[in-house]
Amino acid sequence: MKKTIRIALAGNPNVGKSTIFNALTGSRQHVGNWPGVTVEKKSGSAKYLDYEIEIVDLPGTYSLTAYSLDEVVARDYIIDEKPDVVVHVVDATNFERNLYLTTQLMELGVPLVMALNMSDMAEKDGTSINRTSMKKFFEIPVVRTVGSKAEGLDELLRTAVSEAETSPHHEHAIGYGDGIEHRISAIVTALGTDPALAARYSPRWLAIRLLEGDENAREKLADSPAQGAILALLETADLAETEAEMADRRYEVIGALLPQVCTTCVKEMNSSDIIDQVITDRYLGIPIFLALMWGAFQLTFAVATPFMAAIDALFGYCAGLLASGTVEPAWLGSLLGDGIIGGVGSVIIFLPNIFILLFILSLLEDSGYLSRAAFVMDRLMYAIGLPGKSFIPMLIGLGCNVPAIMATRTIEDKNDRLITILVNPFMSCGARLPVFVLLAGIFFPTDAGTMVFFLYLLGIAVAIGSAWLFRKTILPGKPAPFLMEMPPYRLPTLFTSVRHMWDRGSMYIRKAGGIILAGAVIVWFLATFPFGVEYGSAESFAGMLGQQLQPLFAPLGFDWKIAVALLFGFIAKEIVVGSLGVLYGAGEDEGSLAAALLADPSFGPVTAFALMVFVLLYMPCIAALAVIKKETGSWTWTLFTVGYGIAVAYIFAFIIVHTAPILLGGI
Amino acid sequence: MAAIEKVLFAAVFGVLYMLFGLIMIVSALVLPLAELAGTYFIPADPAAGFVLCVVGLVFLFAYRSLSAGTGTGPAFLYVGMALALIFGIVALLSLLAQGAEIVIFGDGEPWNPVQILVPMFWLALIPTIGMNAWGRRFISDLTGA
Repeated sequence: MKKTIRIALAGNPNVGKSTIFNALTGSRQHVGNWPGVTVEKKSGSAKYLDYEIEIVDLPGTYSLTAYSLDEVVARDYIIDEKPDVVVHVVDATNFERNLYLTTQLMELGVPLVMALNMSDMAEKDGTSINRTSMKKFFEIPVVRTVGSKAEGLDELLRTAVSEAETSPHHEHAIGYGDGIEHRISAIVTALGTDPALAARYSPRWLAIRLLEGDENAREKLADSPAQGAILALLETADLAETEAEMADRRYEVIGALLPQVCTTCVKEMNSSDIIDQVITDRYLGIPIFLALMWGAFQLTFAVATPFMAAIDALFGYCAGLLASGTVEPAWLGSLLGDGIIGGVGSVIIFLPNIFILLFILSLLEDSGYLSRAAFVMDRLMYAIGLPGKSFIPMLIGLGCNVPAIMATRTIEDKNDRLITILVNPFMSCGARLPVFVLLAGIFFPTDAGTMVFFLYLLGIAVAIGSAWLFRKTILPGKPAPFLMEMPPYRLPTLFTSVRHMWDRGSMYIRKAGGIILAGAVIVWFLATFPFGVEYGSAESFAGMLGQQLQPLFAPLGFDWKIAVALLFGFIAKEIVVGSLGVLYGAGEDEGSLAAALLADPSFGPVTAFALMVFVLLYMPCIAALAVIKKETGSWTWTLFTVGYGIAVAYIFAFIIVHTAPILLGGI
Repeated sequence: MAAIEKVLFAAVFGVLYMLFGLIMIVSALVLPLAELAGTYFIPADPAAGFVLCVVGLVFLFAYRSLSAGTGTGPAFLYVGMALALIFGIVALLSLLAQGAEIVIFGDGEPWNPVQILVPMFWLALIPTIGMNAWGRRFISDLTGA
């Protein structure tokens, strides 16, 4: 009969837990070369001999103090769910820093195995960790692993299973000195009056957490008969002072043990250090960041061009077949040509841009650069009242706002987190790229890459400006200090970056076949009916709807077709292009949407620019709104995001429409 | 390579990158200069000009540090060469893609391969050689080789 055991993978952020998880379970959880990639626990299964093993990948945490939401998820799982074994994944290249969490895991009294991950890189840097000594001093088995190459994972499973089957476990304890130990003993004695609580949690661990002022630990006493006695004991202690003393003591223990288990931990400067001296330079850091982002958008626009031309030619061919009248009845030909090819085709043509941008972002992320970008922006972010940590979700937002908003869970302070959520929709996601590429390519052909780059910068600037405004008005506070480890630079592998690109980009293909197709068919229906009206005319349902909305958009120079496109863009931003494709009959007689827009006298460079800025800023898509509601738990903040976005977009577009012709001499 | 060669290398490329970067920025503002620069395949592109200036600045920081003998000089030099290489590749890929589109899907208009010779591309050629000569350990650290 098969036995079942549960293994939790715990450790600091960015130590390779998800890489090991993927290798053990055959999953494809996203891994990245920066902290905070995993913000929720993920579960998978593996088989080893007669064992069915459930493996849980926990979010990274530096300690069990649990200040941020992702840390709470990790800690609560270990404490409340009581896995059979906790595998503490340690970054062997940052060995000393990882040991703080080791000391706290040891105090929990859970069966523990240490995976010395990235051992190959540590060895290459000259770091030598003596596993025999480690086992001797820490009383836990230590396994050498290289997650990215699946090295040592069999031994890891074997050791974990062995630990799960071993009972009883040796309890480890750090001595905190007479004064603190006396208090710990007193609390442990008091806990003895509540056997249920003492059975559920390690009494010594709970006593330590209470003395460290852990509110979560205090909540566990809520219905306990021991509560009164313990609170009375805690009132006699200076908890902040005790917490600091205990942390000092743990570091003292680590400092004393380290030379005995790790030799040559002090390294000469490596390439990562060399690059960081320049990339994070106080004067050059931001210009280099801007230059690299320009390079990303230049490539996004330029390299995609032949691929776009190929897709355009394919759709043109299909449209030509439909225009020849071979499809009967006529309405079906119109649905296929105007609705599906005109709508969905107008979006699919931009998939190369989206994939190339996502590929470049994957390269930057996998190389370790994006962590530096957050570090470089920290000074600016702090000046406006946000921690540098907020910039990481903002960067993730360049791919998609949904995971970006979820990534704000790494931010401890509630107001910091809320501000970061509220401004994230201003970061231009991949779905807005088709709108920019289409309009910049038509109306700014020689500077299209630069124009798209400018729009992304504008999104970042509006996000930062809005954060400053919120901080000064509705969400006051002081940003928490930014502590972030810098992962080493790595030359990204083509396979990994392509896989990351595909994981993120395939969503857009699914959207094209789902929500965008549905949107295009609805817009086609509105543009075709009632019976007998000219397709896409002002007499169609779409025309009637657009004319109702048009007065609102008239000050921005947008006609009714744009108004309808913007309305449907609320579902997904790509539908703005799809709707324009349908309403302009882009699938008809091989005429492309670009040609139709150029031929429209109401569309010029200023209108195009205002429209791009409006689409950039006006509101999150429906999926992002759902996540905002989930993460804020508030309809008020969700609706505020919509209202604020529309107001900002309207103001920006209005200013552009009324000042650009004056500034640029009436283009 | 002797240190003096690295100092000269950083100074020369710092000045060249800054010079061409500034020409590209100013060309975007002054039409006669844009026409003149265009004949030498120097585009009037302020954003690309800004990028060249950033690379030039990194080289000039390298020059200053190498001259003063501070430890950060090689760091600026290596990163300057790496940035030059990255943007050289960006320029090359952009122009090759443009050429591919014209040749395969164009309306018969010719494409002149000489258009590839924008400063962002050809300025990167020598730093690439420099990177090969001086940055082997630097690269091997990153590749894990």
